[in-house]
Amino acid sequence: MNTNEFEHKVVSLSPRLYPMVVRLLGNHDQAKDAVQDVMLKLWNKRKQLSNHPNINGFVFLTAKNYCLDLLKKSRPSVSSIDSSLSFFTDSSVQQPMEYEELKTAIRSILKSLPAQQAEVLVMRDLDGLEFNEIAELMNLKVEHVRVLLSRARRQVAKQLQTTFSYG
Amino acid sequence: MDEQKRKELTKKYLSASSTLKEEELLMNDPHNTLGDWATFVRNEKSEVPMNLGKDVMQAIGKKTNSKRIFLFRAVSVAAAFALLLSFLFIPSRENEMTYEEKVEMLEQVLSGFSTETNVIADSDVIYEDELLIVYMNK
Repeated sequence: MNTNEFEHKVVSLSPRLYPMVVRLLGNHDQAKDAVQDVMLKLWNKRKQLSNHPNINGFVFLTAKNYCLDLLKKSRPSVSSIDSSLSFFTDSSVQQPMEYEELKTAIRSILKSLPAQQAEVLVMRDLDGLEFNEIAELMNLKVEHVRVLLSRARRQVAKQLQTTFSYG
Repeated sequence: MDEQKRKELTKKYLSASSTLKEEELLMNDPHNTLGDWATFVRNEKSEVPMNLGKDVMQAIGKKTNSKRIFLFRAVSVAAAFALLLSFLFIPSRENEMTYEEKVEMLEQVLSGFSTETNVIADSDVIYEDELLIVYMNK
């Protein structure tokens, strides 16, 4: 894979990678550096990468593992599931009390879901990943990802409806 | 978005058969039926820094350039070292006499010896090269 191909096929994924990385690391500056580091790692592996059947999935998987490694180094007690389900909270921005309540409620709803369902939901709705990318990240089939996502969305809808005004 | 389209997209969304584009359309629809979940998703989506891809390419460029510079420096140092060694181990020929000079010098030396005495017969060779043989009397 030459520089142009790498830029076109891999580096172009950086903006799509960013939401997941910032959610996992919880810090914009660190996320930007992490995306660059991941891309450098992939650049060094570009020969193997050109033959990969799911380049996008591999890129997302590399980024996720890189973030989890960083988190493990800085906070060894945090499990990968906790990290995968975290969502970005910028403490410098004061948010309305109502929204904070909503976030707390959603956090507890996500925790009540089976781990795979919650993870798939966050990856799709917050990180904006395609089904095949989620499938690669979770080592599942696309059909299975769809089933998990559908169940998660219906469950969240049901639980939010009882708590707030969903639907 | 009309009511029919909204219903259709919501159904697709809940059955996980919608595309990312359709989901974005639904989330940004002010009258969507996803309510608080849509509010949450809209708020939690991170803004991607401008020129992220460009910055990444620059970082890769810097990294590969620094590797190239390191390689260039290493090769330069090796070349300088090899040159230095060549000066040390290959003897300089600046002070070496030409063949004609050697002959001339030999003749000068020989002129100091008597040609009548057979010095050679009674002597041991202590040094010999292509032009000069040094004998020592026994």
